[in-house]
Amino acid sequence: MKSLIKIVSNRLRANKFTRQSLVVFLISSILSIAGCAGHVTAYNTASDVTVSTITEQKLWHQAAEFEKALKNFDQVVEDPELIHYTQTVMNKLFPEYDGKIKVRVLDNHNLNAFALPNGSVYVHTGLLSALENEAQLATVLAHEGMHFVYKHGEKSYNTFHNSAGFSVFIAAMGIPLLGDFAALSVISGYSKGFETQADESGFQRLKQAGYDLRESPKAFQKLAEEAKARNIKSYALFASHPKLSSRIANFDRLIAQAAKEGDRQSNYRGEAPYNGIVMPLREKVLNSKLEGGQYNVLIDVIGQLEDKSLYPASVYYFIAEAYRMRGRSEDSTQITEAFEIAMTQVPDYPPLYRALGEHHLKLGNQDKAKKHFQQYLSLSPNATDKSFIEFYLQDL
Amino acid sequence: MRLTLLKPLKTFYLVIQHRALRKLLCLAPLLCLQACVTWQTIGTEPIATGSGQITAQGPQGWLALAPGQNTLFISRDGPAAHYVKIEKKLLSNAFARTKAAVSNDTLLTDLADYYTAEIKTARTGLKINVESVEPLKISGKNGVKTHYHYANQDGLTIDLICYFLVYDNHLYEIVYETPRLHLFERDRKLVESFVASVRL
Repeated sequence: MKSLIKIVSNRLRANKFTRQSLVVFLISSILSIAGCAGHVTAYNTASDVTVSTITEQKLWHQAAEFEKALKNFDQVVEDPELIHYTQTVMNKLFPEYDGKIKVRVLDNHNLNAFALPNGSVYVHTGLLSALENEAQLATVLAHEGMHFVYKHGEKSYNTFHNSAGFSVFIAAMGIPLLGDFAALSVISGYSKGFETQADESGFQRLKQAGYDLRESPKAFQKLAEEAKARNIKSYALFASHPKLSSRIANFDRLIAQAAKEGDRQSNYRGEAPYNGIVMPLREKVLNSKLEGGQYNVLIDVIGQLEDKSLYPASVYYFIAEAYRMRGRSEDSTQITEAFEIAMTQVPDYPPLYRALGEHHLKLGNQDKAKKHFQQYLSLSPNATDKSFIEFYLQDL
Repeated sequence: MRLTLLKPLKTFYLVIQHRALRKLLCLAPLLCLQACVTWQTIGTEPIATGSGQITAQGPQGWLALAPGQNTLFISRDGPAAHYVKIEKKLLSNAFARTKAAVSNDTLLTDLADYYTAEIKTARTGLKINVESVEPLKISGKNGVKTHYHYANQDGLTIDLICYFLVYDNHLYEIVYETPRLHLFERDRKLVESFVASVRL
């Protein structure tokens, strides 16, 4: 700075400052001042959470409109017990915010979570279903909460300014508003710096709240596994920069550093309360993944879990049906094996018999197909596809 | 050379920067489409896709548009309010999102499941609910009728009824999409008669 002043004063003294260079100098100075005026200050406590700037007003309004649309889309889960539980975890992580960071749950089987500029943090049922315990949920909530605290939304908005608009801004936060989720996920998210900041500050929150830090990278591992099964580069959650593998490595580094600094390691994972609340969601999510054609996720992610006890016993039906629906000739052995396991695990599960009926019908085993279809209708006399099964039975 | 490349890029950048121009850019293909084909009032004569391969007897007084060789739209109050669309698609394109293994031999119930998966994947932001799935003959061939509904961003319930079948490595589909309020029941029987009149 001193040298810059020296150069300017020398030039002024020597009258070497042309009009053009003076204009450039003045404009750049004004721009730097404008840049300072636009500086966004992070929140520190609940009392800071106010709408003060025009940009904030704009973003909060747009966030409210967006939330209204989500409600109208009938995607917001209204489960008081679930909402209370997730909010309690958030409050434990951010006690000074006095509940101003609000957790909401979206009925969507994709693994995703995002924070809006007004402090609403949305978590998908798909992500809740994939996580194993409260410590992993806390990792996600701490990360999203930090995006709000640091006003990363507003900072990104200022960067994008109006050129990108809210739609890109929303997309950058990983919200599958409309259209293809996978397509949105490739849109560049927050800058690497913001993501790392949210990771590292979120990690400190986990430590302060007394969670088992070793669980923190596992949330990212879940995302990486599902992204691989769905053949997408990365999940929009936590953005695509830095890569999920780098994020996992970063968490491993933070854990090692915490151990080195002699921080007392907590073993609290909160498995029992978490699974008590989330277990009923898992069957719905499995069904939603099957209906959404995510056969590879059911086979390569959930099917590969050594311990499937987190899922209801019907998980074996979903895996078997995913093999059948995937329709690969090389899967024939796995289909048979998966159905045999499902028969032992959920012998009274109606959809299993529909699937077995279809399986045998396709193989030309008409007697077996008929037996299974009849069993299906006796177990589920009011099935939505009853007329279809009766249509098959007429020909068998 | 450098200027030749930069100029169109700069123009494009300026266009996408400006909200009104951005809208125009999006509407341009539709405007071009509009210039090529026009909505025709349906009379007593059957209507057809551009290729003439699929024909149907549309409700008299409604409007019809055949924007391509394999597509036909009909509507009474405009496609933004409601529409029926007939389309023939190659199987490889019809299930592009889910890459479902659909062939001429696919069971109809499986076809219904693959179709639902494709719809759900295509409309990710919506919560698509399945009301019913039933067998149906389309032009004398075995097909499927699925009834879905969803809420749009204004909370309005939209009914989506799809009739489809696979024949000769193509998916033939008839899609009827309409708000439940006022329009669904009003046009239901007319649409059913229209579907029954379709000839492939």
